Amino acid sequence: MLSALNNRYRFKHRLYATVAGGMMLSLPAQAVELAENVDVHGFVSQAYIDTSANNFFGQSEVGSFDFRELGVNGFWQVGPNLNFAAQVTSRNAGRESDSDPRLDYGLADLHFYSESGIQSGIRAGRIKVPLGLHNQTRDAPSARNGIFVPASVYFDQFRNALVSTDGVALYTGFSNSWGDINLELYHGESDPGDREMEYYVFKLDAPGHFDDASLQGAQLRYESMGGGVRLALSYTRPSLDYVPNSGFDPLGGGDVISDMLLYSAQYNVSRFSFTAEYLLMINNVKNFGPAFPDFRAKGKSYYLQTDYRYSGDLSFFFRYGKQIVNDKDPDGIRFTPSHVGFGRTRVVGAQWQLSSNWLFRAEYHKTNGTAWLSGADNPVLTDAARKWEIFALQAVYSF
Amino acid sequence: MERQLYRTKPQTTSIIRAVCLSVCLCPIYGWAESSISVIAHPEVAVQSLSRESVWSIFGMRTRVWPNGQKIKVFVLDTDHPVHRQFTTDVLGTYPYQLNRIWKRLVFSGTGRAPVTCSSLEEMTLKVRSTPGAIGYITVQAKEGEHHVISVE
Repeated sequence: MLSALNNRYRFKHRLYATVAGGMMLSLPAQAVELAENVDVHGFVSQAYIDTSANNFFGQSEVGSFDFRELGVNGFWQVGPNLNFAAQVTSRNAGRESDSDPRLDYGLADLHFYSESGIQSGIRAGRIKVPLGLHNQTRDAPSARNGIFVPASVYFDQFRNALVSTDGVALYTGFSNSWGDINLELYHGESDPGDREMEYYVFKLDAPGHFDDASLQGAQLRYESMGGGVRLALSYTRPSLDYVPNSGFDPLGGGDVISDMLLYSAQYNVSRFSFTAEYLLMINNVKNFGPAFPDFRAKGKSYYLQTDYRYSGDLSFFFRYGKQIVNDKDPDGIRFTPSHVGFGRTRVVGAQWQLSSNWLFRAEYHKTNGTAWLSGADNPVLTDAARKWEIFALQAVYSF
Repeated sequence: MERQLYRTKPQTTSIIRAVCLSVCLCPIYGWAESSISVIAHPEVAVQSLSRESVWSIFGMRTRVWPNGQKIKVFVLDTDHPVHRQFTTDVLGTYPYQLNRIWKRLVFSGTGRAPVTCSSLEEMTLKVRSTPGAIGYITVQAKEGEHHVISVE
């Protein structure tokens, strides 16, 4: 059985392994500088996930190697005021993320400095969405704060709509003796993915599909000099139109508009980092017809994380995360099953930075509730377990 | 027995003395160790920078010199003792903070990471030969011609 699985795995991912192996053999420890003004970076990650029940990032109930990531990016500084940047990623994380390569970002960035030190610019193309402390790097394994971004706040149902968007961002910022202030405003369109939004809204795979999400938002960031204190206030408004199936569809052409307000704070000292992020989310679901009455729900979620750096290369963290899908129904009584209405999790993790390229992680999650469980990987949510555990390992190579 | 006691006493005294001495000298030693100099390419017209400007440059936010020339930032490897010293003494932060900032820039398409040098010799050579370059060295390595930028 194990060898059959191994063979399948080897066959399916030979190309992937070749690319990854080639990269590791041929690349130096740091970025590859193709020319004076061009940098190339990349990453490869492979995880092993075993869950006591429920499928997370693949068929994890039987132990899975399904979660792996591959990414390559380039940055071209054309002149002092203009640069181009692009990243292609391949992410395999269960049914919603197959390993097909996609353009994660591809943008032109034009920026200017004023005499008073204010830097302003415009980015256009496919841009990363600034939301909280981690959204922009949620798919870059070496830049994350664990094997998975904190699921209570960065839940995967909105991942595709929020990970990057095709549009424009305006930004401005300045530094002085008490820190840096940055403001970014953006507008764009993004693909919400195949099924995850449908499971999020209807708790089932609907006959029709959600069209591109329209996204508007802003982020205000403060960082003290040296990064000891980091604060961010992020707002984003994804709105999605449902396109009913042209054959039979009990659902009408409704829409889902969400207002997300995310407060982030981090305090860093030599050995410890304390992080808290709190998300307030208002979902407006309208015009789906009699089969699915309109509703408005306020969701609340947060996580608290403490990181302890034992040494330069070994660190540990503890995280508590909580999500309530509808604040009027914290125990999910009106949900079927009730446990999709909430999630509470405790996570302990360890991280070992073997070298500047290699990173190894181990995590244990103990979770009550299935609010952030993927519907695509667990299509019969009534069969999902309310209490479940995750044991996960991850190896990351990045340059 | 008497001999032993006699021998023990100076030992204890010397330990106490050593501890006292090192405690007293710690700030001085720390100061001596913190003699890191920020250096730039000889043609960079800047003579001094504020600490926040240095933080902004090594955080890769300030990308051009006042005359509009591109800044090229050189650093040593994260676990190099001189990099640690530069990070704590000049920038007032920790290497993990710079790594976090650089990784965010590199993997979100919003900026670049600095060029990492494997040794102080390489750093010296690259800063001297790359127009618009900035880097750092220890005072001990401050031999020959360097365009040292004072940090205020």
